[in-house]
Amino acid sequence: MASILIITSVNNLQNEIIKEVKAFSTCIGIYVSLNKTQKSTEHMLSEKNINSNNMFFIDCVTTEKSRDDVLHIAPDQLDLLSSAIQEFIKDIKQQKFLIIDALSTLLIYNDENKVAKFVKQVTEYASKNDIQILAFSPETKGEELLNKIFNFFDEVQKR
Amino acid sequence: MKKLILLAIVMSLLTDTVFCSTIDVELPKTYQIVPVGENLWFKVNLALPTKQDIKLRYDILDVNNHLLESKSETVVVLQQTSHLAYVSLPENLTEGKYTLRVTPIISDLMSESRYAEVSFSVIDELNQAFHTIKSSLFDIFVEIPEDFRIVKPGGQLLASIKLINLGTSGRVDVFLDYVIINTQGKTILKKKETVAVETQANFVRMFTLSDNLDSGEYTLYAQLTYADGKYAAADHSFAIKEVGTTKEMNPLFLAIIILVALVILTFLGIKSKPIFERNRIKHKVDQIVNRRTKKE
Repeated sequence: MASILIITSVNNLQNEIIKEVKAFSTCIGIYVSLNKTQKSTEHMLSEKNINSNNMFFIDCVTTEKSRDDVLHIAPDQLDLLSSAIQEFIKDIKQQKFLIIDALSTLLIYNDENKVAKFVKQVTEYASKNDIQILAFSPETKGEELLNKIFNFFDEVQKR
Repeated sequence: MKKLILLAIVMSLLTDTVFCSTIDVELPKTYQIVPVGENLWFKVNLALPTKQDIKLRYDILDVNNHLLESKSETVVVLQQTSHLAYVSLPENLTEGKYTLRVTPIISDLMSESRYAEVSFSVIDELNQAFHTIKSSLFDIFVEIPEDFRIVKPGGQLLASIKLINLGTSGRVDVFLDYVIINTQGKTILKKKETVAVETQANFVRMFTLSDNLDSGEYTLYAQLTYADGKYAAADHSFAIKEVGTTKEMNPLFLAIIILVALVILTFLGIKSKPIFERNRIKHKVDQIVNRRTKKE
């Protein structure tokens, strides 16, 4: 299983996410939502006829609890976010994948080095446990960050 | 002859070595005039270089130094001791002046070089003072104030003493004995005094405690002896603690300790918060996954 960093335009970001989620529709997904609420993300997926029942959401946008099975973590709590991802990976026994939308959004709440450290932790853990990671980032934001985290991924794709 | 002189010098030196100290006798005011047939109460004060048993002889002498009555008893002397004693005056004594002589007996072979004397008068009838003594009925109260109920070794114990004469009013000389004992009954301090009391007497006494006493519970006993051997007693407990009490701790030092404790607690609180949070997340994730798994 590989870790892929997908850099795309802001306009294309949503489409690329949908494309990849569709490709992994047979697996259990851990969706870390950084620029949309879990509700919006689910709505976006359902509009494209993608079943989100096999998704576990970590909503970093809102603290408003709409469902019991959605975990809410503030975007500046990178240690907790990392712990939560690891716990999901541990607890879900079936084949799974991890998706993080808009990595660069984390720069609004954290400094570059902290975000880089977070990415490194998550990619290492996922790699150890043979989990597919899909991380997305708009190309117009966080160039410095992207330069730092390129090497943590097995593959970097510009779409 | 030379040998005899030498022996006398040696014995004298020996006496001085064994009994190199003082003896005196105190006669309370009330007992300076005593009715015939009554007991003569007095206090013998002794100071010796070492603790030892001493035989004391009490002699009643007339103005011509004729011995009229004698009594002996053995007393344990702890370097400095006050001993309360009495002698029964013979019934056939006439009115007049007499002498009480107290002599320590070291050895039957030695001459009695040291003694103490005091004069007193004998009267035919019971005087007012003796009437007061005979009809007195005393009670004693001992109270250790709260601030003194925990004392450091080497510290001072303060006790409030109250004597009440429930009988006929009038001046009476009473003898007070103070003893401090530990829980095993061992005596750690002894003190005596004579106090004159009309109807009531209130006073405080300070006792300096030895600095090598163990921590623990102790009791101060006070016994009042009066009127031909009648007595009353009271006691109060206190504690000796080696470590200084909170009262004695420097307030600034205490404030620093509290501040340091607060800083440590805050630091621990800050350090432990992430652990709590991580555990909370773990628990939440477990719940979510289990719930979803059960549904399926």
